[in-house]
Amino acid sequence: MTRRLTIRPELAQLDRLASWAEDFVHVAGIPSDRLFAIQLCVEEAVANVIRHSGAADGREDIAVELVQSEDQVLATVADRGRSFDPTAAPAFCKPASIAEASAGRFGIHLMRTFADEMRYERRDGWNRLTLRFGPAQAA
Amino acid sequence: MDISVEDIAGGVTRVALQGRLDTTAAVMMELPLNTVAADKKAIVVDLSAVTFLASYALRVLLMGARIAGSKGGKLVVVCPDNNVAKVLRGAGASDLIPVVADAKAAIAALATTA
Repeated sequence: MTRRLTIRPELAQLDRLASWAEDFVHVAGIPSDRLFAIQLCVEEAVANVIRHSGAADGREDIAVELVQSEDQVLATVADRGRSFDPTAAPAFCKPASIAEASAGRFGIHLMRTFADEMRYERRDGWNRLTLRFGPAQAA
Repeated sequence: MDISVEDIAGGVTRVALQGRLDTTAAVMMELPLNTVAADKKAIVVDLSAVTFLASYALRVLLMGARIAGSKGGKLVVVCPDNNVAKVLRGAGASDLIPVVADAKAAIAALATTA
């Protein structure tokens, strides 16, 4: 089962994204305990694009795709903003103080925590971030 | 997302949040939480009825704790062991601000350094 959603690069669109992901999980019969991880990671990925990629300046839409295949779900977030590879971000260091922690930068770490795999590619001017939930399929 | 603020016994202010603390909800809770953090000395932020916590909401909570600390106050979070708690733990927030399972433990945590 595959579903695609195109959203404008505005934080107000994130509500629509969450309900769309919830509907996908229900319709696809995916265990509901996986919904939290899927919603969290997709929201963090899209929020990162809106805030940091410059896609919002150019009013370029963001394409989100959810695919269920056997016992795993693949979520892909694609945008035409500036090149950014979240998988290359430095490893998260737990903040030593509240002052340090309140600066944020948790989004990529949460994606790494709640998704089983994160892949990135830049092709034809598109950033494509793919997140896998569930066990890796045998080759 | 719903937010309610009430002064309870012992000079404690309880901020109860309910529903999804996604990015947009976090933006809406920022001002009321910061106001409480600046004005009150003993604050319990109750996440028992929160079903989702995005990174921006986490940042708002930490900012609240930072403001409270800078004014000589203390902020304690109530959160049962669930996915929301996993977000708090994963980001290291539970090492920086007390995260306890229920209101009784929150009052005790506030008393330890009051």
